[in-house]
Amino acid sequence: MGSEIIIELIDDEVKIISKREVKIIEGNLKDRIEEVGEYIKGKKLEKRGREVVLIIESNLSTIKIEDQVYMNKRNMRKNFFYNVKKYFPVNRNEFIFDIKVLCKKSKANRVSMTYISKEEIEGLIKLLGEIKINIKKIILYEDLISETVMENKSSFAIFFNTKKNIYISEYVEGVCKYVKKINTEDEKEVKYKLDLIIAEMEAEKIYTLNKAEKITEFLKRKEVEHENIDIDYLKQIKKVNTFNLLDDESKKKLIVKRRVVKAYQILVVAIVVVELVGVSIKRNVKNMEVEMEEYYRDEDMRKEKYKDSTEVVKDIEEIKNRILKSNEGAEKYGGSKIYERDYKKIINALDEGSKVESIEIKEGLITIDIISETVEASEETIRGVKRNFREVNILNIRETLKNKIMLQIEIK
Amino acid sequence: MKKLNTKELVYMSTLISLHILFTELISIRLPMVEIGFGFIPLAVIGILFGGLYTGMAMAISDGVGSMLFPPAGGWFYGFTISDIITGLLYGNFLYRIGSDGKKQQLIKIAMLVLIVNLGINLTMNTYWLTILLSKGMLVLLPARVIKTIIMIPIQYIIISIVINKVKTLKVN
Repeated sequence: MGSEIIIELIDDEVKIISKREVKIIEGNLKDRIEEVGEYIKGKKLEKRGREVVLIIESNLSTIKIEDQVYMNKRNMRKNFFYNVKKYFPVNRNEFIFDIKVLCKKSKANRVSMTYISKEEIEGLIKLLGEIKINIKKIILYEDLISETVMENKSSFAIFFNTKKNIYISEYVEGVCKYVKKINTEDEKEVKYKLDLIIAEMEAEKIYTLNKAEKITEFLKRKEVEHENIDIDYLKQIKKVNTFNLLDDESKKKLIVKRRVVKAYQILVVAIVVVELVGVSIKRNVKNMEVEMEEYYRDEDMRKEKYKDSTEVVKDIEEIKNRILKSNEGAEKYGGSKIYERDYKKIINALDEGSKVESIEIKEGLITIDIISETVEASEETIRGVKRNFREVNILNIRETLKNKIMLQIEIK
Repeated sequence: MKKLNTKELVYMSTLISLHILFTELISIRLPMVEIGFGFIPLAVIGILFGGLYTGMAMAISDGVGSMLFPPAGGWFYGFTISDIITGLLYGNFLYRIGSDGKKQQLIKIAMLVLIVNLGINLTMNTYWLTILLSKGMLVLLPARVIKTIIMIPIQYIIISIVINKVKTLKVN
């Protein structure tokens, strides 16, 4: 759970407990729902606390305790919801149900089943749904308190009072025996009922909550041993084995709504991504078009140059002259030597259709191996030229190269 | 994000392979449209693994798929983006759908099919095609609208059936 909010609905009083403060809104929840909403929104609790724990008094709910055949929690819940009518013969649409394990016995689970009227908390569920807060858990007040005490004692009673009522719950062997509520308006009646309850009580120990003065006074007078305890809700809630009440129909509707909202968010992000990618693609396409245009224009120039086959011959003659300016050629024609890699460079350059004049060469020596390579390279050259400049008379090129090679052989 | 264990990874990779096969090889070619079935394994991934993993699975599937079966016109990352978003949506709507009531399931499937077909297939993918083919959107739309109209009920029915079969499947 993120930042916690606890909403306590006890005795016509709505208590909103956050880490920073406790807000008490007096009056029935149904009448004060707008005020609750305004407070949560005003304090921006909907941002910090995405989940809320709801504490309700047990007279808003009905509890049944039963021993069931041992099974895992998942199956137990499935089984409960499948047979819910058997346990609670009420309209499923008007109530929310849940089950929790109280204790494990041999080959059995002692479970507590409950249902809560939707009508009582429907306004709050709707409000929290609107401000996007999940109800994570609904805890019965007595359960929350009994969990605190349960660690020390298995049989005990809890007394606590609110402005209008006194609540008494008794637990025997870890199981809630009863929850009673006494209206405090008539003091005589209260004393009478409390006397009766204490007389029948089996509990080993009595606890009073949060300095419940009226009850403490009464118990002292009756010389009943008791202990006052303070409960820190925020810490205690994490320990409580709670009802989850997650299978509530209204919550499911909320889930569908949230999925749609999430899908909408995904689509918004998608639109932004698509827009960015689209712009980038269009820019790239434009750049590519410019490059292609330049490339074709350049190629057109070369095509223009080699339109006349004599230009090709001229270029190849130039190569021939350079080659002849090698070792023996140098002697015969008064030229200079070139290296093997320079020779290859020239042939490759011709293959690619580049200008031969632009190739930088160093002085070197031509061998018979290079000449034999030249024969193969010449074929490639023809294909290259043919590929690039279709208008050129291929025969002329072949003839020129052949002459060139023959001449080199003669030289060797 | 929860880490996947070995068993989940095996499930995921098998489903990705199935997605590639269903998308590339198993399809019905009608005169107007080609009906692919890649959405079936995609729905299963969505049910089992949720949005983020389904988005990732779709990215992997698109990459591997275009290596094995190079698309005409080459790989284009716009469609990968569409696939990832489709995966996110499938996961968003279908993750653990088995725990929902029947009515919620049907609403979720309807929402999913409508959003994916209208938002992704009809709008986003058409936009990518306008960039790729240098054609106006209105030129491409009519054929794609027909495809969408055919695909919406088919996907709705098939995903509903698949969910009924798969919802009880547990990876862990």
